[in-house]
Amino acid sequence: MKKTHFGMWLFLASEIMLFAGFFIAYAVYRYWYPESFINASQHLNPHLGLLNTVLLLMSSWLIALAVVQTKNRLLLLTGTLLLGSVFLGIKFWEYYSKWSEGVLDQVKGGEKVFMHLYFVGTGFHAFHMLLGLLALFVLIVLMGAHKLKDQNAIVRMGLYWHFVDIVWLFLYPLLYLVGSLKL
Amino acid sequence: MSVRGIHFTFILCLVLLGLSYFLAYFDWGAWTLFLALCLSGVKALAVVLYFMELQIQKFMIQIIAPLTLAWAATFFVLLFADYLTRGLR
Repeated sequence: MKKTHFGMWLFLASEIMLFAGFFIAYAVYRYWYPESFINASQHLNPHLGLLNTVLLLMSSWLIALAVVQTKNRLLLLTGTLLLGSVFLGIKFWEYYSKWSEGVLDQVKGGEKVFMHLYFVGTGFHAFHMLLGLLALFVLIVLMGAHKLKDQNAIVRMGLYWHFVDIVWLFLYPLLYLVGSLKL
Repeated sequence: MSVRGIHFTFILCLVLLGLSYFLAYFDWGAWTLFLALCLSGVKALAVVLYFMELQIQKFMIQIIAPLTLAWAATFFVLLFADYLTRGLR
């Protein structure tokens, strides 16, 4: 067993505990304000959330392929980088639109709590994405220059990326699919 | 992990995501979020088992994931056991 792989799994386990804090806060406030959470989620765009989930799943798919096959590895990692960048672009556009609409000033009580949880949860996730993209960029540059000595770095990169994907798989329903959607 | 397995996992995740989105258009009451979270759980399991290749890892790695989840679940249970019984005498 590679010690570095084991270390990465331990690191991801600690990351789960980190996000568990957010999920616990969400559960407690959801118990306090069930109706407000449903109302506040109407401020979010579930279609953009869906698009972002598809992008992230596609990026995970590409990096999983890059791990198991040496052919087109650089291309697959670059695809992952691009899809991740588009994800962040959409996320920041969502932040900008919510900020310019003044959503936080319009909501009160439980709805305000929900919006704060939205910004904290997705912001924290976006920060992890940003770190992942930076690491991926360095990996691609090293591979392109044939200076990547440890090929297992791709495996560890993949593990981190899939973890970020999994966190989003839970954030999406918790924030965007709280109540039923309108046609 | 085979390339075919990775393709299958990806398609499975997309189908489950589409199902979550489709089901969200119906009013399931309190079950709406529960259903979506269950489907997310299945997607996450597929990602862990096939994309992260947990099923073919060594035993030491295989026990990290369930132990971490058990640890986090313990936090949830203890927190809510305390929280929901605060008014009781």
